[in-house]
Amino acid sequence: MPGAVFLPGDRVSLHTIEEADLEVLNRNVNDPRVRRPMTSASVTTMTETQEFYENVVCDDDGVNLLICVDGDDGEDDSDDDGDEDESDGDPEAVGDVALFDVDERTRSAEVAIALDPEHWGNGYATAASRLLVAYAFDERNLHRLQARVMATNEASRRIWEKLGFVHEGRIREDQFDDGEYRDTHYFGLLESEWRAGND
Amino acid sequence: MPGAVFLRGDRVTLRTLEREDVDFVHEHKNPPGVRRSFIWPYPENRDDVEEFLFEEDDGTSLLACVEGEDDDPEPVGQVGFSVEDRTRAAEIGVWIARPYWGEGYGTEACERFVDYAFDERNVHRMSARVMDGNAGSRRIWEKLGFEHEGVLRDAEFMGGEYRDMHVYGVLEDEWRERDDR
Repeated sequence: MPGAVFLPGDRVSLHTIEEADLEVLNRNVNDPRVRRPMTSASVTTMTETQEFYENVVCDDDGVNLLICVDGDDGEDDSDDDGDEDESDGDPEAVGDVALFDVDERTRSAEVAIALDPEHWGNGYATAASRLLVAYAFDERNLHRLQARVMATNEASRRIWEKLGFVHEGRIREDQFDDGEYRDTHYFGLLESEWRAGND
Repeated sequence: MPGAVFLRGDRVTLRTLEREDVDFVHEHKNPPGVRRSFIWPYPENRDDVEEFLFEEDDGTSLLACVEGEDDDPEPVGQVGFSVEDRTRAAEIGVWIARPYWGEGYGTEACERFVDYAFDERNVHRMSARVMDGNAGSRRIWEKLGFEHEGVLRDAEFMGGEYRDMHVYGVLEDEWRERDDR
Protein backbone atom coordinates (compact mmCIF):
# COMPACT_ATOMS: atom_id res chain seq x y z
CA MET A 1 0.00 0.00 0.00
CA PRO A 2 1.65 3.23 -1.19
CA GLY A 3 2.17 6.24 1.02
CA ALA A 4 -0.09 9.26 1.36
CA VAL A 5 -1.42 11.05 -1.70
CA PHE A 6 0.56 14.23 -2.23
CA LEU A 7 -0.64 15.36 -5.67
CA PRO A 8 -3.96 13.81 -6.63
CA GLY A 9 -4.91 13.55 -10.29
CA ASP A 10 -7.56 11.98 -12.47
CA ARG A 11 -5.76 8.99 -13.88
CA VAL A 12 -2.62 8.95 -11.80
CA SER A 13 -1.79 10.34 -8.39
CA LEU A 14 1.58 11.12 -6.91
CA HIS A 15 2.18 9.61 -3.50
CA THR A 16 4.98 9.91 -0.98
CA ILE A 17 7.65 7.27 -1.46
CA GLU A 18 7.87 4.84 1.44
CA GLU A 19 10.44 2.22 2.22
CA ALA A 20 8.01 -0.46 1.08
CA ASP A 21 8.02 1.02 -2.44
CA LEU A 22 11.73 0.70 -3.04
CA GLU A 23 11.40 -2.57 -4.91
CA VAL A 24 9.45 -0.90 -7.71
CA LEU A 25 12.05 1.87 -7.94
CA ASN A 26 14.90 -0.61 -7.94
CA ARG A 27 13.31 -2.75 -10.63
CA ASN A 28 12.81 0.28 -12.89
CA VAL A 29 16.28 1.70 -12.43
CA ASN A 30 17.85 -1.63 -13.40
CA ASP A 31 15.53 -2.41 -16.34
CA PRO A 32 17.46 -1.61 -19.54
CA ARG A 33 14.30 -0.23 -21.12
CA VAL A 34 14.13 2.37 -18.35
CA ARG A 35 17.71 3.01 -17.30
CA ARG A 36 19.25 3.30 -20.77
CA PRO A 37 17.07 6.19 -21.94
CA MET A 38 17.80 7.75 -18.54
CA THR A 39 21.50 7.47 -19.38
CA SER A 40 22.31 5.12 -16.54
CA ALA A 41 24.70 2.27 -17.25
CA SER A 42 25.20 1.50 -13.59
CA VAL A 43 24.13 -1.48 -11.58
CA THR A 44 21.92 -0.40 -8.70
CA THR A 45 21.62 -2.80 -5.79
CA MET A 46 18.77 -2.71 -3.30
CA THR A 47 21.31 -1.39 -0.79
CA GLU A 48 21.98 1.56 -3.07
CA THR A 49 18.29 2.15 -3.61
CA GLN A 50 17.94 2.13 0.16
CA GLU A 51 20.70 4.75 0.35
CA PHE A 52 18.95 6.76 -2.37
CA TYR A 53 15.84 6.61 -0.21
CA GLU A 54 17.66 7.83 2.87
CA ASN A 55 19.89 10.45 1.21
CA VAL A 56 17.68 11.78 -1.58
CA VAL A 57 14.05 10.92 -1.02
CA CYS A 58 14.10 11.70 2.70
CA ASP A 59 16.81 14.29 2.86
CA ASP A 60 17.18 16.54 -0.15
CA ASP A 61 15.88 19.79 -1.57
CA GLY A 62 14.31 17.95 -4.46
CA VAL A 63 11.03 16.12 -4.60
CA ASN A 64 10.58 12.43 -5.39
CA LEU A 65 7.11 10.99 -5.70
CA LEU A 66 5.62 7.63 -6.51
CA ILE A 67 3.34 7.43 -9.56
CA CYS A 68 0.24 5.41 -8.75
CA VAL A 69 -2.58 4.31 -10.98
CA ASP A 70 -5.97 3.95 -9.40
CA GLY A 71 -6.86 0.31 -9.09
CA ASP A 72 -10.02 0.97 -11.06
CA ASP A 73 -8.38 2.87 -13.90
CA GLY A 74 -9.44 -0.02 -16.07
CA GLU A 75 -6.18 -0.51 -17.87
CA ASP A 76 -5.39 -3.73 -16.17
CA ASP A 77 -6.68 -6.95 -16.04
CA SER A 78 -8.53 -9.35 -17.74
CA ASP A 79 -11.63 -10.05 -15.86
CA ASP A 80 -14.68 -8.37 -17.18
CA ASP A 81 -16.93 -10.39 -14.99
CA GLY A 82 -17.45 -7.37 -12.80
CA ASP A 83 -16.19 -9.12 -9.71
CA GLU A 84 -13.86 -7.37 -7.40
CA ASP A 85 -10.42 -8.74 -7.78
CA GLU A 86 -7.71 -8.15 -5.26
CA SER A 87 -5.99 -5.32 -7.11
CA ASP A 88 -9.18 -3.34 -7.44
CA GLY A 89 -9.35 -0.20 -5.43
CA ASP A 90 -5.74 -0.21 -4.33
CA PRO A 91 -3.50 2.26 -6.10
CA GLU A 92 -0.78 0.48 -8.04
CA ALA A 93 2.76 1.89 -8.09
CA VAL A 94 4.08 2.19 -11.66
CA GLY A 95 7.08 4.48 -11.38
CA ASP A 96 8.44 7.69 -9.94
CA VAL A 97 8.91 11.33 -10.82
CA ALA A 98 11.60 13.67 -9.59
CA LEU A 99 12.10 17.38 -9.30
CA PHE A 100 15.84 17.71 -8.75
CA ASP A 101 18.78 20.10 -8.98
CA VAL A 102 16.53 22.70 -7.46
CA ASP A 103 18.46 25.97 -7.49
CA GLU A 104 16.83 28.26 -4.96
CA ARG A 105 18.61 31.36 -6.26
CA THR A 106 17.76 31.03 -9.93
CA ARG A 107 14.38 29.40 -9.19
CA SER A 108 15.12 26.60 -11.62
CA ALA A 109 14.97 22.82 -11.43
CA GLU A 110 15.00 19.75 -13.59
CA VAL A 111 12.28 17.14 -14.00
CA ALA A 112 12.61 13.44 -14.78
CA ILE A 113 10.39 10.40 -14.83
CA ALA A 114 10.74 6.62 -14.76
CA LEU A 115 7.80 4.41 -15.64
CA ASP A 116 7.48 0.62 -15.58
CA PRO A 117 7.48 -0.47 -19.26
CA GLU A 118 4.42 -2.66 -18.59
CA HIS A 119 2.50 0.58 -18.24
CA TRP A 120 3.86 2.49 -21.21
CA GLY A 121 1.46 3.84 -23.82
CA ASN A 122 -1.34 4.84 -21.46
CA GLY A 123 -0.46 8.50 -21.01
CA TYR A 124 0.55 7.95 -17.39
CA ALA A 125 3.93 9.63 -17.82
CA THR A 126 2.39 12.78 -19.25
CA ALA A 127 -0.30 12.86 -16.56
CA ALA A 128 2.26 12.40 -13.79
CA SER A 129 4.62 14.99 -15.25
CA ARG A 130 1.80 17.49 -15.57
CA LEU A 131 1.06 17.16 -11.85
CA LEU A 132 4.70 17.68 -10.98
CA VAL A 133 5.10 20.69 -13.27
CA ALA A 134 2.00 22.38 -11.83
CA TYR A 135 3.34 21.76 -8.33
CA ALA A 136 6.75 23.21 -9.23
CA PHE A 137 5.24 26.47 -10.45
CA ASP A 138 2.19 26.74 -8.18
CA GLU A 139 3.65 25.68 -4.87
CA ARG A 140 7.42 25.84 -5.16
CA ASN A 141 7.56 29.24 -6.87
CA LEU A 142 9.98 28.04 -9.53
CA HIS A 143 10.69 30.17 -12.58
CA ARG A 144 12.07 27.60 -15.00
CA LEU A 145 11.95 23.84 -15.46
CA GLN A 146 14.30 21.83 -17.60
CA ALA A 147 14.01 18.35 -19.08
CA ARG A 148 16.68 16.46 -20.97
CA VAL A 149 15.98 13.70 -23.45
CA MET A 150 18.36 11.46 -25.35
CA ALA A 151 17.85 12.00 -29.09
CA THR A 152 16.75 8.40 -29.58
CA ASN A 153 13.97 8.65 -26.99
CA GLU A 154 10.92 9.82 -28.95
CA ALA A 155 8.37 8.77 -26.34
CA SER A 156 9.94 10.86 -23.62
CA ARG A 157 10.34 13.82 -25.93
CA ARG A 158 6.60 13.79 -26.61
CA ILE A 159 5.84 14.12 -22.90
CA TRP A 160 7.58 17.45 -22.65
CA GLU A 161 6.26 18.73 -25.96
CA LYS A 162 2.70 17.93 -24.89
CA LEU A 163 3.26 19.90 -21.70
CA GLY A 164 4.45 22.92 -23.69
CA PHE A 165 8.19 22.68 -23.07
CA VAL A 166 10.22 24.54 -25.69
CA HIS A 167 13.10 22.82 -27.48
CA GLU A 168 16.13 24.88 -26.52
CA GLY A 169 19.04 23.03 -27.97
CA ARG A 170 20.60 19.85 -29.20
CA ILE A 171 23.80 19.07 -27.34
CA ARG A 172 25.85 16.87 -29.60
CA GLU A 173 27.25 13.50 -28.59
CA ASP A 174 27.30 14.08 -24.85
CA GLN A 175 25.79 10.65 -24.14
CA PHE A 176 26.71 7.12 -25.05
CA ASP A 177 24.27 4.28 -25.63
CA ASP A 178 24.02 1.18 -27.80
CA GLY A 179 27.62 1.57 -28.89
CA GLU A 180 27.35 5.14 -30.10
CA TYR A 181 27.65 8.68 -28.90
CA ARG A 182 24.19 10.24 -28.73
CA ASP A 183 22.84 13.77 -28.76
CA THR A 184 20.75 15.19 -25.94
CA HIS A 185 17.76 17.46 -26.49
CA TYR A 186 17.27 20.20 -23.93
CA PHE A 187 13.75 21.37 -23.21
CA GLY A 188 12.72 24.28 -21.01
CA LEU A 189 9.46 25.68 -19.70
CA LEU A 190 9.04 29.05 -18.03
CA GLU A 191 6.42 29.82 -15.44
CA SER A 192 4.79 32.47 -17.66
CA GLU A 193 4.46 29.99 -20.52
CA TRP A 194 2.90 27.41 -18.24
CA ARG A 195 0.33 29.93 -16.99
CA ALA A 196 -0.46 31.14 -20.50
CA GLY A 197 -0.99 27.54 -21.59
CA ASN A 198 -3.32 26.83 -18.71
CA ASP A 199 -5.52 29.89 -18.97
CA MET B 1 56.27 32.01 -7.15
CA PRO B 2 53.71 29.96 -9.13
CA GLY B 3 53.97 26.20 -9.49
CA ALA B 4 55.52 24.03 -12.17
CA VAL B 5 54.65 24.47 -15.83
CA PHE B 6 52.18 21.80 -16.93
CA LEU B 7 51.15 23.16 -20.35
CA ARG B 8 52.98 25.76 -22.40
CA GLY B 9 51.51 28.23 -24.90
CA ASP B 10 53.12 31.11 -26.78
CA ARG B 11 52.41 33.74 -24.16
CA VAL B 12 50.53 31.80 -21.52
CA THR B 13 51.81 28.97 -19.36
CA LEU B 14 49.43 26.75 -17.41
CA ARG B 15 50.88 25.79 -14.07
CA THR B 16 49.98 23.62 -11.10
CA LEU B 17 47.96 25.50 -8.50
CA GLU B 18 49.79 25.87 -5.19
CA ARG B 19 48.90 27.17 -1.74
CA GLU B 20 50.64 30.46 -2.47
CA ASP B 21 48.21 31.09 -5.34
CA VAL B 22 45.29 31.28 -2.93
CA ASP B 23 45.85 35.02 -2.40
CA PHE B 24 45.76 35.74 -6.12
CA VAL B 25 42.60 33.70 -6.66
CA HIS B 26 40.95 35.16 -3.57
CA GLU B 27 41.70 38.74 -4.60
CA HIS B 28 40.59 38.44 -8.21
CA LYS B 29 37.65 36.04 -8.08
CA ASN B 30 35.59 38.12 -5.68
CA PRO B 31 35.17 41.46 -7.53
CA PRO B 32 31.88 41.76 -9.49
CA GLY B 33 33.39 41.71 -12.98
CA VAL B 34 34.96 38.32 -12.52
CA ARG B 35 32.47 36.61 -10.27
CA ARG B 36 29.70 37.61 -12.67
CA SER B 37 31.60 35.98 -15.48
CA PHE B 38 31.35 32.59 -13.83
CA ILE B 39 28.11 33.29 -12.02
CA TRP B 40 28.98 32.79 -8.40
CA PRO B 41 27.33 35.58 -6.43
CA TYR B 42 28.66 34.45 -3.08
CA PRO B 43 31.59 35.89 -1.14
CA GLU B 44 34.51 33.50 -0.90
CA ASN B 45 37.01 34.03 1.87
CA ARG B 46 40.52 32.56 1.84
CA ASP B 47 39.36 29.34 3.46
CA ASP B 48 36.59 28.91 0.88
CA VAL B 49 39.05 29.48 -1.93
CA GLU B 50 41.54 27.04 -0.46
CA GLU B 51 38.89 24.40 0.02
CA PHE B 52 37.62 24.90 -3.51
CA LEU B 53 41.09 24.66 -5.01
CA PHE B 54 42.51 21.77 -3.08
CA GLU B 55 39.76 19.69 -1.58
CA GLU B 56 37.52 19.16 -4.58
CA ASP B 57 39.18 16.53 -6.65
CA ASP B 58 36.65 15.76 -9.36
CA GLY B 59 38.34 17.93 -11.95
CA THR B 60 41.60 19.37 -13.17
CA SER B 61 42.45 23.01 -12.69
CA LEU B 62 45.49 25.07 -13.66
CA LEU B 63 46.79 28.57 -13.05
CA ALA B 64 47.23 30.65 -16.19
CA CYS B 65 50.38 32.82 -16.12
CA VAL B 66 52.09 35.25 -18.45
CA GLU B 67 55.62 36.54 -18.35
CA GLY B 68 55.81 39.34 -15.80
CA GLU B 69 58.57 41.63 -14.62
CA ASP B 70 62.03 40.12 -14.49
CA ASP B 71 60.69 37.21 -16.53
CA ASP B 72 58.87 35.91 -13.46
CA PRO B 73 55.55 34.20 -14.19
CA GLU B 74 52.61 36.44 -13.33
CA PRO B 75 49.25 34.79 -12.64
CA VAL B 76 46.37 36.10 -14.76
CA GLY B 77 43.58 33.57 -14.24
CA GLN B 78 42.49 29.99 -13.96
CA VAL B 79 41.25 27.33 -16.34
CA GLY B 80 39.86 23.91 -15.52
CA PHE B 81 37.46 21.16 -16.48
CA SER B 82 35.63 18.12 -15.26
CA VAL B 83 35.07 14.94 -17.25
CA GLU B 84 32.42 12.30 -17.05
CA ASP B 85 34.20 8.95 -17.10
CA ARG B 86 31.81 6.91 -19.17
CA THR B 87 30.59 9.40 -21.79
CA ARG B 88 33.93 11.22 -22.13
CA ALA B 89 31.99 14.47 -22.05
CA ALA B 90 33.76 17.37 -20.35
CA GLU B 91 32.96 20.96 -19.46
CA ILE B 92 35.55 23.71 -19.39
CA GLY B 93 35.53 26.84 -17.27
CA VAL B 94 37.84 29.84 -17.24
CA TRP B 95 38.25 33.21 -15.60
CA ILE B 96 40.78 35.98 -16.12
CA ALA B 97 41.54 38.65 -13.52
CA ARG B 98 40.10 42.05 -14.44
CA PRO B 99 43.43 43.84 -15.07
CA TYR B 100 44.30 41.30 -17.76
CA TRP B 101 41.12 41.35 -19.82
CA GLY B 102 41.31 42.11 -23.54
CA GLU B 103 44.71 40.58 -24.18
CA GLY B 104 43.50 37.23 -25.53
CA TYR B 105 44.96 35.37 -22.55
CA GLY B 106 41.68 33.54 -21.92
CA THR B 107 41.50 32.30 -25.48
CA GLU B 108 45.09 31.12 -25.46
CA ALA B 109 44.76 29.39 -22.11
CA CYS B 110 41.59 27.61 -23.22
CA GLU B 111 43.01 26.59 -26.58
CA ARG B 112 45.95 24.96 -24.89
CA PHE B 113 43.70 23.33 -22.32
CA VAL B 114 41.29 21.91 -24.91
CA ASP B 115 44.28 20.43 -26.77
CA TYR B 116 45.26 18.73 -23.56
CA ALA B 117 41.74 17.41 -22.94
CA PHE B 118 41.51 15.78 -26.35
CA ASP B 119 45.16 14.72 -26.71
CA GLU B 120 45.91 13.43 -23.25
CA ARG B 121 42.62 12.85 -21.46
CA ASN B 122 40.73 11.14 -24.28
CA VAL B 123 37.75 13.48 -24.02
CA HIS B 124 35.13 13.05 -26.75
CA ARG B 125 33.25 16.30 -26.33
CA MET B 126 34.00 19.62 -24.65
CA SER B 127 31.19 21.93 -23.52
CA ALA B 128 31.24 25.53 -22.38
CA ARG B 129 28.40 27.58 -20.93
CA VAL B 130 28.13 31.35 -21.13
CA MET B 131 25.59 33.67 -19.62
CA ASP B 132 23.88 36.08 -22.01
CA GLY B 133 25.67 39.40 -21.84
CA ASN B 134 29.12 37.97 -21.29
CA ALA B 135 30.45 38.85 -24.73
CA GLY B 136 34.09 38.39 -23.78
CA SER B 137 33.60 34.81 -22.78
CA ARG B 138 31.42 34.01 -25.80
CA ARG B 139 34.12 35.24 -28.11
CA ILE B 140 36.56 32.72 -26.66
CA TRP B 141 34.41 29.75 -27.71
CA GLU B 142 33.52 31.24 -31.06
CA LYS B 143 37.16 31.95 -31.86
CA LEU B 144 38.06 28.40 -30.89
CA GLY B 145 35.44 26.97 -33.26
CA PHE B 146 32.95 25.71 -30.68
CA GLU B 147 29.46 25.30 -32.09
CA HIS B 148 26.55 27.17 -30.53
CA GLU B 149 24.21 24.34 -29.63
CA GLY B 150 21.47 25.81 -27.54
CA VAL B 151 20.05 28.56 -25.38
CA LEU B 152 18.70 27.63 -21.96
CA ARG B 153 16.21 30.40 -21.48
CA ASP B 154 16.17 32.29 -18.18
CA ALA B 155 18.40 29.66 -16.62
CA GLU B 156 20.47 32.24 -14.71
CA PHE B 157 19.88 35.35 -12.68
CA MET B 158 22.20 38.35 -12.63
CA GLY B 159 21.88 42.11 -12.40
CA GLY B 160 18.28 41.89 -11.26
CA GLU B 161 17.00 39.79 -14.12
CA TYR B 162 16.80 36.28 -15.47
CA ARG B 163 19.32 35.61 -18.22
CA ASP B 164 19.74 32.98 -20.88
CA MET B 165 22.59 30.52 -20.81
CA HIS B 166 24.31 29.68 -24.08
CA VAL B 167 25.71 26.19 -24.51
CA TYR B 168 28.68 25.65 -26.80
CA GLY B 169 30.33 22.39 -27.73
CA VAL B 170 33.17 20.98 -29.80
CA LEU B 171 33.75 17.34 -30.69
CA GLU B 172 37.09 15.60 -30.81
CA ASP B 173 37.10 15.16 -34.60
CA GLU B 174 36.15 18.82 -35.15
CA TRP B 175 39.00 19.93 -32.94
CA ARG B 176 41.50 17.80 -34.84
CA GLU B 177 40.32 19.11 -38.21
CA ARG B 178 40.79 22.59 -36.90
CA ASP B 179 44.28 21.71 -35.72
CA ASP B 180 45.11 20.42 -39.19
CA ARG B 181 44.29 23.69 -40.86
